[in-house]
Amino acid sequence: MFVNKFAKCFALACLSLSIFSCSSDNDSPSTEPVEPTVNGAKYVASYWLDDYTQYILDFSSIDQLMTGEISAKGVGIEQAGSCFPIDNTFFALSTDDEGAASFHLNTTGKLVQAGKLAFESSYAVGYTDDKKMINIGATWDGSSSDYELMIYNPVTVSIEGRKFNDFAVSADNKKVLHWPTGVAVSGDKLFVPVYTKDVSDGTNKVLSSDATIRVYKYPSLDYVTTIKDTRTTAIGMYYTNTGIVQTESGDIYTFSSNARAGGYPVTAAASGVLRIKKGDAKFDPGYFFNLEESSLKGKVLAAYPLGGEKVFISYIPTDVDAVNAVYSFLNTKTIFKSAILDLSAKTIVEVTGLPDHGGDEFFGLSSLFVENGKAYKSFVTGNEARVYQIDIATGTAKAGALIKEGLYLPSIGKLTY
Amino acid sequence: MKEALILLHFNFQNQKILMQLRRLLLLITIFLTALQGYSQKNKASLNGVILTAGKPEEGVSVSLKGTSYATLTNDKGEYKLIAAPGNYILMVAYAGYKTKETAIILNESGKKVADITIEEDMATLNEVAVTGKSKVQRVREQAYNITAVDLKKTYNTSADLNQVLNKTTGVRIREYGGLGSAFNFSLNGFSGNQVKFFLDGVPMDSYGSALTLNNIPVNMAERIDVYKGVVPIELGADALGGAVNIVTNKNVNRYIDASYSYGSFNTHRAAVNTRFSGRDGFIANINAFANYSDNDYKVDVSVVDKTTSKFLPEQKYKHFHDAYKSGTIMAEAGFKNKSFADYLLVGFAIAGNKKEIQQGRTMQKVVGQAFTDSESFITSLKYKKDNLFTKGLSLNVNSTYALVNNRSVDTSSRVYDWTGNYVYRQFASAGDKGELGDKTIYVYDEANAQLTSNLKYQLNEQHSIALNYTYLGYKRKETDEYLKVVELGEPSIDKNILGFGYNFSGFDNRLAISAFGKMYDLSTKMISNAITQSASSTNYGYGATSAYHLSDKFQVKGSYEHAYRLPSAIEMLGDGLTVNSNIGLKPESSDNANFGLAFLTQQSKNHFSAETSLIYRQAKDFIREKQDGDKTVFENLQNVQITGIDGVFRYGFKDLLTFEINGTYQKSLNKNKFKTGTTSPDALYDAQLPNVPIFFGNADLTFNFKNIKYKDDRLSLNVSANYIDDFYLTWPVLGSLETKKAIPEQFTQNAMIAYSFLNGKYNLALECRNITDVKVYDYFKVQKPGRSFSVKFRYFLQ
Repeated sequence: MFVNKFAKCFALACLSLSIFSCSSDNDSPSTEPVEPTVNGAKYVASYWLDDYTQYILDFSSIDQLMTGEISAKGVGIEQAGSCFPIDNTFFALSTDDEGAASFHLNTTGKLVQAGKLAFESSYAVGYTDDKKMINIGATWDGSSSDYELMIYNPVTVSIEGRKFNDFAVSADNKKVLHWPTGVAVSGDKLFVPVYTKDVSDGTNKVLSSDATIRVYKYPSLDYVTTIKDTRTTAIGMYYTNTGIVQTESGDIYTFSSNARAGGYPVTAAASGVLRIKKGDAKFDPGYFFNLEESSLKGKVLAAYPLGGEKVFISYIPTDVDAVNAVYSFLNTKTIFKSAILDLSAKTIVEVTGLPDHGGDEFFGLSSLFVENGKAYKSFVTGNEARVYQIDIATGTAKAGALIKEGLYLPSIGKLTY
Repeated sequence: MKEALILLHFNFQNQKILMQLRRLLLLITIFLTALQGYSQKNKASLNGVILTAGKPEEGVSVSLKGTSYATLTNDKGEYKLIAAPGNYILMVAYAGYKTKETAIILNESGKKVADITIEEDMATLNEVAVTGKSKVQRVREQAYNITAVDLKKTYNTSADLNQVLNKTTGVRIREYGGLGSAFNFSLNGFSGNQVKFFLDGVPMDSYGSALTLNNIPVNMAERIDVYKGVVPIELGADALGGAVNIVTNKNVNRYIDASYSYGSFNTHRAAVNTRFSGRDGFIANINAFANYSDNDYKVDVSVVDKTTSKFLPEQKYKHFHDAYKSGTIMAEAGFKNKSFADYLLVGFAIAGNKKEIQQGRTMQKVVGQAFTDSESFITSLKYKKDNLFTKGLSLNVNSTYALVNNRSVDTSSRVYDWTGNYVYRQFASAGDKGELGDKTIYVYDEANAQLTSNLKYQLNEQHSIALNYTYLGYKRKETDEYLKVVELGEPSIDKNILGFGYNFSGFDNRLAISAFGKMYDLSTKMISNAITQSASSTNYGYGATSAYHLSDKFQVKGSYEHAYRLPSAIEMLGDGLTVNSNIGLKPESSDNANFGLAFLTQQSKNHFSAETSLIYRQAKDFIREKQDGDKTVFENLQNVQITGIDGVFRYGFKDLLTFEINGTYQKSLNKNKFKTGTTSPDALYDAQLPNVPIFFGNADLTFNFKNIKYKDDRLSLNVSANYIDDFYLTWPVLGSLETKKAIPEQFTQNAMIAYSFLNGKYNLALECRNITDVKVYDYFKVQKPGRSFSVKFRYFLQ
């Protein structure tokens, strides 16, 4: 108790000091944004436990992800929600009554909560170029086709723009709807990849469709058009946000699984990657990366940016997909493999040293962390789950810390103070 | 016919066990009789009859003052004491009567004492310290680990039974809000349905939500017996962690006790309890009570800005949809002291309630339209006959048949905030979403049949044997009547419990021993997705209790039980609104051991007493309520160990002052080494269970002043305090304690002033609860009422 009070006093003292220093800054008005001095950094991860609770852990060194065990015993902040590192904060987007919360490191390097906000619904998210996030709220059973797009500002921890849009495939049939699988923003354009579903009999039936993206203006959130490409099928998967990636060049790449494992009725089209060139609002007709015809002979389920034009992908061999359950990406059955793609050069490096693993569950988008040419992500490999470090250049994976009370680290990020 | 067959089947299965038990008991009996014979050398007997109003009185305490020789009168008012010859003061004490002391000389040839008549003492009805051993004290001295709560001293409070019980050692009642709110009763680490409730020995499971501890006024009962751990077979229950038996007043033949109280949050409580006894043995009891409250107390919450979605700073908001009303009428009539029956009573009760719902699991979800209501119709038959066919054989049968209609209604598309404003829901999922879940008008009609029969045979003064058979039949007819009526099926639960017990009391009543065996049979018929699933199980339990007076001041107690509990209807079937069903729930079992020490002394005007007990429970398939999204669901936890210690200290100075302080500390640990169904280690092995109170205590100080303005008037001043240490919503071992979701420490104080005059005929009391108006939480982010005042007027006529 005493220690606790001491810590509070210390924090208070630091806070007053920082306020002091801020007020002196204000004395000399400057329009130039001042780059904050970095005193230190910490790695932050959300940790999903077997009992469906989630804790946010912080580590002073990346080595802690690579050695020993990851455990929430005595450490971590209990917080529900899908977590996303954004603009030096760690945002837990929860639709629970308790609300979503933003975390950051305070001046002493301690992870603290900054603010809370309420979300009624969240089905697809993505980052913008100006360090904000997009959230799409929707009605799962299709009783309404009006979905809400909103812009979350991590600086003010508030929603600063919102607009409803009718996601019906055609205005005269409100029972066949588009369902968002992710969001990406490039410049003034906002892309929402969707699949098509039929809600007329209440079963939420997934229909086969072409690769489809709804295009909006950013930041006005006004609907512009819907673009389609027949070379492959629907982009992304339900609730994962791993079907659309913006690379360093500003180009957008989309990933279509056409896989049972992704929850789709399989068609004759190939699983593969399409491109939208920077500044365009249409698929690049000259680009298609056919993965079923590649050396992988597989279907891509999820893609994570690795920097440059590279992505890390989780895929399932086409023959394995055919004999496994629909929506296998939600299971721990070890039927998935990984590879590194250079999207621009269309080259493939298969990941070695990583056993066949389970699906990524709903834990996409921020579950892979990149630093110094290495990627870090947790994988379920049978009865246990570990963090693996993957060398981006060679594709060599190295097993790291054992995850003790659960199977997933749904999000990993790095914050500074 | 089916029941008869089942019974026959039980008898057959049980014969083997009974044979073995009989052999064991015979051995014990022979051994103890020999000991008893030895210790009775050179002693003389003393006997006589105790009368009240010219009639023999049963259950009167007769003792030789300053010694441990004590006994109770039988149904003919007779008593017999065996003691060393000498000069004694014979002390006769009976609750509600003046204690009488008579000097006697006991010589070797024994003595027959002339009939003693004791006189009623109305003043003592409000007294706490009863000279000699009160009924409450005698209950406390039974071999069971038991706490008897004397309600007489609380008759003037506006409290309900829950609030009174919450002051008891080992007991913690967690409430979701104000009057009529859902609550969870926990006793030494066991909670909910693990603890069984009885009204005069009749299980209250089937009475419906209008007849629970938070509805029943204190005036209806004389005392509450709280059995911790081991429960006597007479109650015939499959309790795992103990039982609570509410004992109504039976001493006064004709009376009327009427009371009305009004308090903060527009709370009204009224109660009338009356008894009529005719000369020909006719007896009629009527108990009626009604409760109403707006429960519009203020809570500290933050609302969300609709544009930015940001949580705004916390403010005080009033509950606006939390009203509760309930009413009950219970009538009972029959005969007492007839040749064919000591009593034969037929009863009928009707009860109903309506509860508006203000919030979801926490205050963050505001509800403005959903509600639940229920109606109960209960018929009962009670029969008791001592010396049936032969001397010493007594039969006691209680049966009830109850029909309870319940509704859970959640049909609103509105999303309320704490200001009472609302918008219509923008997003929904899985059907049409109401305020708490899918829209529903969930109607479930319950039919409960219950039979408890006890056969007891007093072999002689020291030895008795008892047989109990209990049947509980439950049937639920479920329908969802939202939009169109959907029949959800008719699940049923049948429980048969058979118990056999042996009691010994000897060594001048210094030693009491009970041993028992029980058989639990459960058969269920559940419906899931229109498929009927039937299951049945039979389990055996056993145990023993003993108590020994080391001296007339010290008593030690020990008990052990291997107990089973069969899941309840609500645990398996849910309530359609806040509790999800889990039809695969298994019966839970526990090995319970208790060890207790009691001390009682009286030195001139000072009374001291102290009790402490150690508890140990090893539970298997422990049934626990856990969060399931916005709702809860009951699950089996494979291995749980509960250890605890509690203690109470009481002090009284004459009739002027009484003081009590008690404390309870308990640990509930997960003892599961491996994750269920796997060989991978359970990371939570040895961890304290979440959402369970660990340390709590109470203090109570009362002053009584008599003859202030008028003869026989009385002024009582009472202050009490309640403390509970903080505990965590989820596994405390996980996460940093600093940021964990905690149910914060509570420290509240209450005060009451009561004035009675005309010998207790008129009573007026003023009460303040939560004097310092602190924020109080029993559940995570569910704030309870702040400071409240109430005034109660009570009229008592005999």
